[in-house]
Amino acid sequence: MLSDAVINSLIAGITAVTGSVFIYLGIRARVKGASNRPLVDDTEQRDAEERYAADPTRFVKDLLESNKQYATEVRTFREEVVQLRRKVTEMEVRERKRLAALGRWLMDIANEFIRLGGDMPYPREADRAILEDIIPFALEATQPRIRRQARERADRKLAEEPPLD
Amino acid sequence: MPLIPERFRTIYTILIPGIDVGVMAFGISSLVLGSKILGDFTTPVFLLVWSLLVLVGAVVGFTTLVTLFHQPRLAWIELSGRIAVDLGLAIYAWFAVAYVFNGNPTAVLTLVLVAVRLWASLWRVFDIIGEMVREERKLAADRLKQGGR
Repeated sequence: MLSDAVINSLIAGITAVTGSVFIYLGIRARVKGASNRPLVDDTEQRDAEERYAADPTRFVKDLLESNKQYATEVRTFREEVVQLRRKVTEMEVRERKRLAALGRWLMDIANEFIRLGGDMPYPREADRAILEDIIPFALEATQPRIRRQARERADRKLAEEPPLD
Repeated sequence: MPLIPERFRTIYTILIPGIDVGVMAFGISSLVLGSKILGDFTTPVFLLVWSLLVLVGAVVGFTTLVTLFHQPRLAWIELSGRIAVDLGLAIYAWFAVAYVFNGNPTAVLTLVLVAVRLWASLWRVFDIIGEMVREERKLAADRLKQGGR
């Protein structure tokens, strides 16, 4: 059999290991269980009640003052809400106008597609102001800047050559 | 150490680090010189592992106490170091009892001294657990406040 020393060592070792497992579980349970008892020190309510029970006139004065403060706060909120509403309606109107202009342009592009051979027409006069930030990007489709220069050079060369007879 | 009154701050700056230094010396001397109480009952390997356990636990506890004081999120490091030390001391006390019953009554002195050190270390262990519990309760209160709003 194993010698005494080894047996003692094994016993001590196994006891230590199981003991530490249980210690760990115990501490973890205690700490986790503490989250069910939150640290609430709410004596404000009780102190206020005691103060005002001793002095009713002060209570009335404080109440009226607090009501007045609430009233001003509510008034500022109301004004802010009116401004926000106005901004929102302005944004909606702008978006509607923009979409309508885009729609008209799209319609023109589709209608003139065959006649212009793939080129894109500019939007209508009235819509150009609404869509002016979109037009350069959209026109990249048919008139990319680089190829347009090359195409213009080619067009110029063609114009200089005499026509084929 | 904001929440501790002035009078008790030396507990954490002098008392407990001093105990840790003592336990470190205990571990080092048992590593270098060996221990008759343990050596009579256990294998040399066990003695080596045990003294390493005590030494490492004391070093961990000491350094975390001195450097990371009062960070409840990391308190488990110090806690595990100190529990290792306490387990080591408990094993030593257990074998000291066996040593006494083997006919060496003077070992009762050693036993009593070990018990005193164990008592002090256990105080700090429960202090750390209390810190973790307070931190958990504070977090629960914060969660409650955010959830209720």
